[in-house]
Amino acid sequence: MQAKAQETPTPAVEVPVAAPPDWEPLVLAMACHYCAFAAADLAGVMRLAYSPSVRIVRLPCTGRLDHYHVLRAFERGVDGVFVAG
Amino acid sequence: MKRLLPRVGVDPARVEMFNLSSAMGPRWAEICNEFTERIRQLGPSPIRAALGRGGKGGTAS
Amino acid sequence: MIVGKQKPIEETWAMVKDFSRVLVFGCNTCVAVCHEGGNKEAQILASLMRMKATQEGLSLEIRDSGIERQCEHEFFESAEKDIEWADAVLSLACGVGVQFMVKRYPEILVYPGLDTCFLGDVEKNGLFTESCQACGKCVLAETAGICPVSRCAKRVLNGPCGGSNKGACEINKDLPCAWQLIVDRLEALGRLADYERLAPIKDWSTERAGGPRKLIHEEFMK
Repeated sequence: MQAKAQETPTPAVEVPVAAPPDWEPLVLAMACHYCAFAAADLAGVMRLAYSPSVRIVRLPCTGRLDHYHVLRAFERGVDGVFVAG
Repeated sequence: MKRLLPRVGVDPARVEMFNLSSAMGPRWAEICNEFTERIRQLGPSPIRAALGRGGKGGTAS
Repeated sequence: MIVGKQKPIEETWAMVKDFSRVLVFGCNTCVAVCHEGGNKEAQILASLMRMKATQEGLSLEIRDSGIERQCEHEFFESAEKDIEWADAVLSLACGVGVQFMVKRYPEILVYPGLDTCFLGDVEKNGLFTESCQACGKCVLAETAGICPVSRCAKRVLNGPCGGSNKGACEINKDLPCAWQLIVDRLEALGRLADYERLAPIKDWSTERAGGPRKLIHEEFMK
């Protein structure tokens, strides 16, 4: 018997939802304290304007990230998550 | 992660990993804008859409 | 260890979605090693199921929990409250764990979240291969430590058979012929003379054909 752990990822069949008129993307950024978070800080110091949709969670290191953190964010209704480090 | 999300009908393009150093402030701003734009194209996540409709299933403790 | 594979989420979801309190319950020993049924996998599956519930507008509550082993009474204490809370448990243990829970909690519905596959080893990271059939009468002493019962498709005890081709099995050329491996190893060890000894007809009564088996230690049963 062959038990393959990886099923081929079926291309996401996301049923497109009509966005409400006042919809703005809600994006979560998981950032490493020492690189990406510092970069975000620098962006602030440089007075760079960037998307207000991004909410940042500072991690001590991206190694701290767990599957569950990302899943939990989606459960609560974020539209996208990126990890930076 | 990108294999888990499609199982519940979430597009894996909604997660991404970026590499950058502490000196890359402008790149950070760029990534935020690019990624937000990508999400804007994808629209609301199916879960957010359902939550908006009042679907509050699967409450965790 | 026991190797299992998570059932497709559609299948497990159909088992539990009509309940109101569902516990996804991990088993953190064997099936955690193959990344399918440990407490972490339970946490992930519970989260995915909550997303499914939200999308389908169902209001069931889904929690996760887990213990070290679902096949022993001793470990259940820490999760007793979670189990009592639930009206259905989706166990990510192997078939042993699921049935043990059924015996222990006759009044709670327990569903299997995994397909239990085989007894295997971690050949390398991410690769798990079958290597024992629990036949009840080990022949490894006669076969250079390579098991023909589990690794030969025909379970031949005096091999190889005529289907052995350039070291591969006739059923699949990516499958090494167990008997080729045995002969090669005996040769490398300078013990080819052992190969000349014919194996007697195997006593299969210790295998599962005689019904479910038991091991009894009376001194521990007081």
